[in-house]
Amino acid sequence: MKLEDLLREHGPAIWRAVASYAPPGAEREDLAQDVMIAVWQALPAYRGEGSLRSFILRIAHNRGLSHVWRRSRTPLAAGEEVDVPDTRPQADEQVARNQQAEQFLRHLRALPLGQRQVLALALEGLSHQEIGAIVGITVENVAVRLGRAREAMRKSLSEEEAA
Amino acid sequence: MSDTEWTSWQEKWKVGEGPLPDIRALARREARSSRLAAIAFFVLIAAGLAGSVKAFMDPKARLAGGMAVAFCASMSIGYLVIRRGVGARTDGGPREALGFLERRLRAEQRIAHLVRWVYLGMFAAFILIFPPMVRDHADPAIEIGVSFTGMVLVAIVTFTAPWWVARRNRRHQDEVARWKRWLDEQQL
Repeated sequence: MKLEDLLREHGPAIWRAVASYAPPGAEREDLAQDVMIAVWQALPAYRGEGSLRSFILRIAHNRGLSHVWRRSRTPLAAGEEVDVPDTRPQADEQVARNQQAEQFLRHLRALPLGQRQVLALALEGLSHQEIGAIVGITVENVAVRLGRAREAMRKSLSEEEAA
Repeated sequence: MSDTEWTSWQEKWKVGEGPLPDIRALARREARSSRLAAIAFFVLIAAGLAGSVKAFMDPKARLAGGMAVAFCASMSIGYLVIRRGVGARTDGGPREALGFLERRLRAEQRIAHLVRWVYLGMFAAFILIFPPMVRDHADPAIEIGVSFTGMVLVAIVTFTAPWWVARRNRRHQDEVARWKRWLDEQQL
């Protein structure tokens, strides 16, 4: 598969996986670049076992974990913003939708990693079996983590609404 | 939790989309540098072998040539055997990545031992065969002195290789240990 075709088909899913680990701005761009290179390098190893989407998302989430690890070990530089608003010109309606999406992602990024991965993959539309294969846990464990993640997310969103 | 809520979450999730970087040039550079590193190793070995075979063909230097051929062959075979199974799965998880790092560190340590003992063997053989080889030359003492000095210096570096490789790898081993603790903490 050509990179152009792969990006057309799976680019948005890669972007969302990246967004669940990194806030907007240079950090997200760096992680996206890291993921893209990893996908590019891993493609020859794809043997058609499982869907290509699962294969790519596994890479994206593993890179995301590595990124969070590195970030946790590197203190933010003075004046460095964690969440940088997207300032590109867009239509008002699109801006509002993007803001909502970004707000949602901010809550998602606040979840513990184990829950965040499972919820992001479920929102992407993957089955419990596929999520289990990507994360390396049993289907039952996926269900448990997903339940906890939904609960934590709902609590976080409602707390913000109430504030 | 209601289906409506889940649907609304999914809608917000699916809105998320942005520009991905064009990484083709960078990826090509990375792939090229990786290929070049592998080529460089085998070019060095091939160059060493070419010189050794040439010496081997000369009746006066047959023993030295044969010894150098044996050195190149031992290093290549040893290197390939040690590196077997070390490779990483690029789509693997963090624990697999850690497994790869540990395998690589072990392989580096073994390669350091390989260099130590193979070179030491060659050095010992060289001490025995070199003086008779240059006996009929105009000034054998200088040839022996220069050659032995160079070989002793290399022997010092290669004999201590396991020690300085271990010292250099200690930092990476600490990093692996910290990674493991972090993965456990995050229940991953």
